[in-house]
Amino acid sequence: MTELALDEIADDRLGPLTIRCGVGLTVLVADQRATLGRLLDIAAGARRPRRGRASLDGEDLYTSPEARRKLGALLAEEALPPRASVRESAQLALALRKPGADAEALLVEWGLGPLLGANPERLRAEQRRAVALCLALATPHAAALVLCDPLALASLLDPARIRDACWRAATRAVVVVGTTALEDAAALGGELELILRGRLAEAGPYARGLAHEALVRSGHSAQLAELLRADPDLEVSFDAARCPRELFVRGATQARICERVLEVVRQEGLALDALSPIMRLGALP
Amino acid sequence: MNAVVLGAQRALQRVLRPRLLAALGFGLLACVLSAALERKLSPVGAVDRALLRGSFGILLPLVGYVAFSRILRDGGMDALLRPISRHGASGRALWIGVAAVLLAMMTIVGTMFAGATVLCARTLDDPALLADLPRSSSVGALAGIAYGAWLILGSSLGRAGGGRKWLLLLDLALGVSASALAPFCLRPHVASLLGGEPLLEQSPMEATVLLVASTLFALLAARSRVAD
Repeated sequence: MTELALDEIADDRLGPLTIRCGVGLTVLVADQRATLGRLLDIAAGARRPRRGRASLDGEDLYTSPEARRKLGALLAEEALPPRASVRESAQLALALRKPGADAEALLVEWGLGPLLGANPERLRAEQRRAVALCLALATPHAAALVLCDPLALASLLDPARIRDACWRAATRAVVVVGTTALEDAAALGGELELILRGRLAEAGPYARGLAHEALVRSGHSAQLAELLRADPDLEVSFDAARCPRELFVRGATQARICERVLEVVRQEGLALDALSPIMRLGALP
Repeated sequence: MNAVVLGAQRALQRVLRPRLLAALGFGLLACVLSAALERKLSPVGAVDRALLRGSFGILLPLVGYVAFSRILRDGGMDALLRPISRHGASGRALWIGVAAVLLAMMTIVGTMFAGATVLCARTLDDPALLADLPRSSSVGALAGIAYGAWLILGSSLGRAGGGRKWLLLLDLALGVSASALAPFCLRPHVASLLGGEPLLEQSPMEATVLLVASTLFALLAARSRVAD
């Protein structure tokens, strides 16, 4: 069974944290963009963590080219392979994994044809990331995909298509998507892990301060409360008279609460303004 | 494509940038000016003074440091290799290609610095010129390789290759004194081969062997730090 494992990872303001992801879509929602970027760099084998290791099926991603060849990645900051044009750069990236693959057709298919002749170093960061996302999603025989904020590229690539590609890949590979935007997590679905201040919400020292409760703010609070009350694992408090836009949801874990709220929001097409885990400040270390 | 070739192409792309070539040109110009100045001050011993103080005492390590900082964009070797190796190329094979280009660059720089210094510090009718030019140039090439290897090792130490700076500072601080650590620095061996006072009365052959050993040690240590 394919598994992407982050074991006891620790780096600048990150961890230690352990996450194991199997085949399917896992969404990591973090409160800090820089921390998320570092974590996904490590998960993609592009950065050596201070402690711990990232592995794909037991092979260390940082030290094994074979393991990296089976993994497609979109990092927070992308640097395409150095070549004179995006066409050549993308061709090289694909050729390192599968000789003979046609990068030009791939980029044209995703609507990035106009970038083909440009110098990769002169592209805007967002354009470089868009090219990298296309390359990642086209990784031949990918065992894993690690994608940092793919839906943030909505201005260049069709978000519905990105979502479909993630889910299609998730049927046979480990797909880990990181984001700081709850709307994107809601749009993607999948299993959710919360990372607060560099630690898993359920495992770090802040877990002691976390109530298994979340504050949900939405223009559709009443409807949302009704739908969530139908779930026997959740307990919902909603006072339409006092706080018409807020409700409190209790559940077994923070991740499960958020996962369920986002699922309902996505299914019903409701607006969500905020979803915040609740901390009991007195219990913090 | 072969990862060694890819690494070499990656390094060449950075080496052949106009600003880097201009920096190397300025270094060469400084060697020429320092040699001309020494000759003007006193023609006797001008070559030794220009080689030992200016060209190889300050300029070669300094220009090497600036060149490496520009090539690696103030980062480490890892930052140069990762955009390719993350797509599945072997990091160690890429490193070999990059290291080969950087060593070649430093060899050329060392040779040219020595050659230009000798040519400017001696007059063309000086009978010693023909003998001194190839000898100093070969020592310059060896010094270039040795400093290149140390800079490659320094670039793989620290998060952003900050080890470069510390290795050169150590060489500057310990290499000029007769301390117990001086034999581990490059400076006294290069100086000894260029006609300076030999360290611990070592012969030129011993100085050459020590420089080569130091170069090999630095390259092996740097390679051991590169992740595949």
